Amino acid sequence: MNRPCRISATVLTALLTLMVFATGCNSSGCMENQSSIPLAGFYSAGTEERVVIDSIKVYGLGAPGDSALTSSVRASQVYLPLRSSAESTAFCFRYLQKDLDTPQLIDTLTLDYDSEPRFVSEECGAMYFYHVRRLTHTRHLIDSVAMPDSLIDNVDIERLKIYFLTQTVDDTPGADPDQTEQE
Amino acid sequence: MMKRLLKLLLITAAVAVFTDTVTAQRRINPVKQPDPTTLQRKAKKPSGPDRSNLAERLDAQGNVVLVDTVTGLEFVDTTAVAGHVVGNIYPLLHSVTVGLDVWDPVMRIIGQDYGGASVWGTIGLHNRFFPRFEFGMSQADITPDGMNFTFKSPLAPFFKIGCAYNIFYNSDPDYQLSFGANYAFTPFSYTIENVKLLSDYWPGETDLTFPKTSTTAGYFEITAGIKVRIVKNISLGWHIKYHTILHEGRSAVGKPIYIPGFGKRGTPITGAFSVMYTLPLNKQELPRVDK
Repeated sequence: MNRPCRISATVLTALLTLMVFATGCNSSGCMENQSSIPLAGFYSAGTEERVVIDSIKVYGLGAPGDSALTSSVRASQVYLPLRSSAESTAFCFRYLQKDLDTPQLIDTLTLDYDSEPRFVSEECGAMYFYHVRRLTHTRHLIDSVAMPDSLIDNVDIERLKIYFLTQTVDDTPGADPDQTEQE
Repeated sequence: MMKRLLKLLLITAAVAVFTDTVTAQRRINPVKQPDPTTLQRKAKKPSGPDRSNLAERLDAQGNVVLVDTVTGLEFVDTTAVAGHVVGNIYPLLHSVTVGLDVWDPVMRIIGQDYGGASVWGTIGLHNRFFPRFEFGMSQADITPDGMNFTFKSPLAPFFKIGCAYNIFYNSDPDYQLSFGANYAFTPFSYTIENVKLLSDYWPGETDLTFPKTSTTAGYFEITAGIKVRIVKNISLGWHIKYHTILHEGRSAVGKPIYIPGFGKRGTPITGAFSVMYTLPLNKQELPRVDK
């Protein structure tokens, strides 16, 4: 076997090996969400720091059985899925703590939007993107809501910041748990 | 009479003694002085080993090694090694090769849901540079497992133009190892159908189809390949390609997952397997080296 033939055989082997590995070389898996769901974070209106809300239930207005969007009663974030078949979706924030669990204190957050079908990628598929036109909310315990970007796509970042009126519980030993500071 | 004879002997002896005395003091060789304008060349001494003592053997590279059995010295038989050839030994217009890329058709047979076929041609310049043009047709009908859409792209053409460089340009043309680059362009259209949008929270399902989108794309390939003659003028060749999209048209619905001639987006390395026919343009018998 002459020299070019030997080198060609070596290269052929290398190419075949590389081809085998290359077939599994594409980027698989959706690195973002497979749908556009805005993520809302809970913050204190006083300190503007992230807070964990104890005993809260968030649900979409009109959802079957008022099923909760929060997986537990303590939450610092919640996904708020928008109805693609409608131009507006409202979410209810019900506070389950003692003295707060009354229908009069349920806050409502409403998003008005335009839906746009988009094809993202083979891995993530097709979905709706939303352009939020208006955002309104009640002001029982929600102080304000911030939404820096009106476009909601499938990138998994916090889209809304909901600032609550919060109480600071004094955890020091011997302190009276009923003595709380209302902000 | 006797006296005369003795006198003659005496003179002869005296002359002989004188002559011998003179030559013992100074010896003169009658050498002609060389002409200083002419180039003088020293007589060559016999160099190298005595060939009658040499034994031949082959080393690992196939070179003939001469071993002096007396001194143990080894010499590569340079007379058996082809001289280093400078420049191109093959003519400018050396060959024309046409090839059919059968990689995608074979992959379609075994279940790949996209691809097509292409034909290409090259002109071998000095068996060294290979300008290349490729034309192909390709289509796709892709429904990924577990996904909510079907991507369809009807049969569309693609064109590639480039050049390859054969590093064995002065070797046997039946074996080539080449590296090259191509630019490709394709106009094509696609639709995304059977889109089912289902919310995990809200009831109901939305079915929709994205409108047909016509667009273009251009991409760049870097290739490495080999060509091996199989029988007569028929050769087989592997190419492995690294490719990247250079430009593509904007789309309102989203980027296509498949581009004709490129394959699936997000796969930077792909390959090709071609059957080729080579037509020699110059049948002049040329010196073969490294054979």
